Amino acid sequence: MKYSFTIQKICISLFALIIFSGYTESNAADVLFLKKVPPSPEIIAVDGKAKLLYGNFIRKQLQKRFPTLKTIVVGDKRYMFITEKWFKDVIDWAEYFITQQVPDIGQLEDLPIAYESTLQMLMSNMANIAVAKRYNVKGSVLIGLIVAKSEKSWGAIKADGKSRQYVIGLTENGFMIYHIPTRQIIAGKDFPNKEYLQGIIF
Amino acid sequence: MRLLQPANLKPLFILLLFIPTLLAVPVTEASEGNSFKISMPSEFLPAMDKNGSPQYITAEQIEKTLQHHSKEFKNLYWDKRIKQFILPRHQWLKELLAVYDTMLKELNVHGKAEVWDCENFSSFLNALATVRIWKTGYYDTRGAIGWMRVDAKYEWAGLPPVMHALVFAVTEYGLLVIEPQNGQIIELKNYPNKEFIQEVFLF
Repeated sequence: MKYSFTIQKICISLFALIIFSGYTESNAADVLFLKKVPPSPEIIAVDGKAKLLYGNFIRKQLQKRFPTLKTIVVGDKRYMFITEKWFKDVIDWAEYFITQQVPDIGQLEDLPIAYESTLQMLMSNMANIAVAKRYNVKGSVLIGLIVAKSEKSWGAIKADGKSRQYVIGLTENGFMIYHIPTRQIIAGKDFPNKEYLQGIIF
Repeated sequence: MRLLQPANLKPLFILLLFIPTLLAVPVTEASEGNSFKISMPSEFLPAMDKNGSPQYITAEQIEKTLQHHSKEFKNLYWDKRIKQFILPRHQWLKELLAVYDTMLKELNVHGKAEVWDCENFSSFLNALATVRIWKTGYYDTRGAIGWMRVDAKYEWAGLPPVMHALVFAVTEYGLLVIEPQNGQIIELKNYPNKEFIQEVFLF
């Protein structure tokens, strides 16, 4: 009798604990399970040291090369080069991360407003977290956002004169430009609308 | 018939209590096998007006408030396609900050000069908030949550007076300044460095 009473108490306590933990979790936060881990960082090194560019140097070069650029926002002092492969991997992972949370996003006719800037911020921050964990480098990954007028067509993008946003990354092949809605990617030197840049933030 | 006597029902009652345990726990573990876990804030809750509709604010209204408080204010950067920004409910914002802290611990993220610094703490929170807002179906707007650069002259929230990045948000309590590294919140009017806010990013 004493034995069964103890079992009963344990069972009731366990039950209460499960109910309580379920209740608190559902009211405090969601938990996201991700099957795909963030890709391992790949940065470019020269003589055993990370290849870096100063933010101010990039700003001056951009001002000189692209007089149409009205807004240049540079956040960090130094930027590192990453591999083009890793840049693409980070794009894939950030898109996967968003889709896991908002599965309906693929069914929408148009992407949510501010999708480009949000994806860019997720990419930039996740990339920097990965680098901070693996390397001891004083510099930031350059993954930013550019705005350019579509005066020339590029693949699925028409020459309609509209302003469009693109994700930009500094890689071993120079700047890479990615257009999210059409999933087109191109080297900065070949970007058809490079003469119509309006703003850049990184 | 003897089985239905109260004394015999006790083990049956215990077994019934255990059924949810047996059903719930192993299924969760098995289905999430090789994945990794991140805590996320719960469903986005907007601030509501008296009629029960979500509250919004325009970029111009935010800009005007900042210009009023800061003599060093230079620019508000925002996506011109967004006509108005949805206000998060204050309680949800507080939960967002608490979960953000948990999430950074789960990801083992620590501040590291020039790689993961105050700007990253601020902009990452900003992006996560936007995704949570989409999850609730608000695709045509963005939260009234952004980040800003301040040339701080006074210590606040345990951070030294240096050039710094912080989060700002507008809730039913007004415009707030937030230190994302420790979750401290203050109303803009009481923020000691409000005069030195220089640039604000609403995207």
